[in-house]
Amino acid sequence: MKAAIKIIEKLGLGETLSEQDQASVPADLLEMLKERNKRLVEKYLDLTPDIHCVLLPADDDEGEEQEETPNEQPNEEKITAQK
Amino acid sequence: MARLHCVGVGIELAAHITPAAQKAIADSDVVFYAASDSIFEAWMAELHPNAHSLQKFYQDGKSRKTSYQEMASEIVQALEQNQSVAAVFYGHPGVFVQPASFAMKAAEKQGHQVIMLPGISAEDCLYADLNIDPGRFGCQMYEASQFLYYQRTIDTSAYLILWQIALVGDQSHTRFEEDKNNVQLFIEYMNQFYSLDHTVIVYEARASYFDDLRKVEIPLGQLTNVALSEKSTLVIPPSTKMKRNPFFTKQEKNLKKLKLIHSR
Repeated sequence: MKAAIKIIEKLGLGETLSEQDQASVPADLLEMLKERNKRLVEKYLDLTPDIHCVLLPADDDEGEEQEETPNEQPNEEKITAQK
Repeated sequence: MARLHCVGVGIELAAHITPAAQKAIADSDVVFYAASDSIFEAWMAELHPNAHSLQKFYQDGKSRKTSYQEMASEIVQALEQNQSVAAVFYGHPGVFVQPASFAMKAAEKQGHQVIMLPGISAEDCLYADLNIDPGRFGCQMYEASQFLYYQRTIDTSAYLILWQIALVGDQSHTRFEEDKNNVQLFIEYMNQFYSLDHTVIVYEARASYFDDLRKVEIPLGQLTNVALSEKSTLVIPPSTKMKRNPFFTKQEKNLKKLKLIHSR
């Protein structure tokens, strides 16, 4: 995994892969990486494709000060450490 | 007292991380991270030997409000057992990242040191990729659903940027996919301010080597014909010219008169 990520980093930065880089991953994975085949790479590396990245806007019950304790939410005690 | 770093690593994998972010992550005892996709997540996992994904808190049918509270709770609890904790987010941790906001406020209240390290945000990428200067005609931006639910004064002479356009109209906070009916409703609402043939842009920043920048220009009235993802942002360019402010024009005349009087 580490070697594959290193290669993705380098390719993303437009760097040329050294022979050492290319030898650090199996040939079939290298091919998938070069072809930018994200789905196959995810499958090969056993990654979960269902990653979410969504944001939650404030509603009319929330002000800046109340932001962490909206009405329908657990109160602040629940987001602090259990002592 | 422990220290919490909320760190942004930018939108594009490896390309946007700053030296300050790298150092904060390396110096932490434990790292929590939230990524934008699976490859990004795999890269973040390699940033620190004791790194933990926050992705497990997202679940189908579960309110995002609850997920974000749970993420914050996990981060703050770690401050009790560690001297230094880093919460790492893609983009900028202070821009549309509620778990970071919750965690920082809670940690601060407990007397911990809290530091935010900025990252390149989706907004920054948008200005670069679409060659938009927000200072030229001005720029308004809202989360799309919030924009629809609340009364806003739309300035059609400025850019209007609406984040999460795919989720417009979702009051449940549980969906991750677009609802064409809601998008159609949005078009009808916007038609009060813009003509249906006004060109809008659907934009998605590149997250890694595997992705291409997505820029689709389409008339507003045809927005339902474009596939929207949770990463899609809608940009509505100005449709009218800026108008002079009559209040200031009047004041300007008065000032000129005063200057004339004083110069005599």
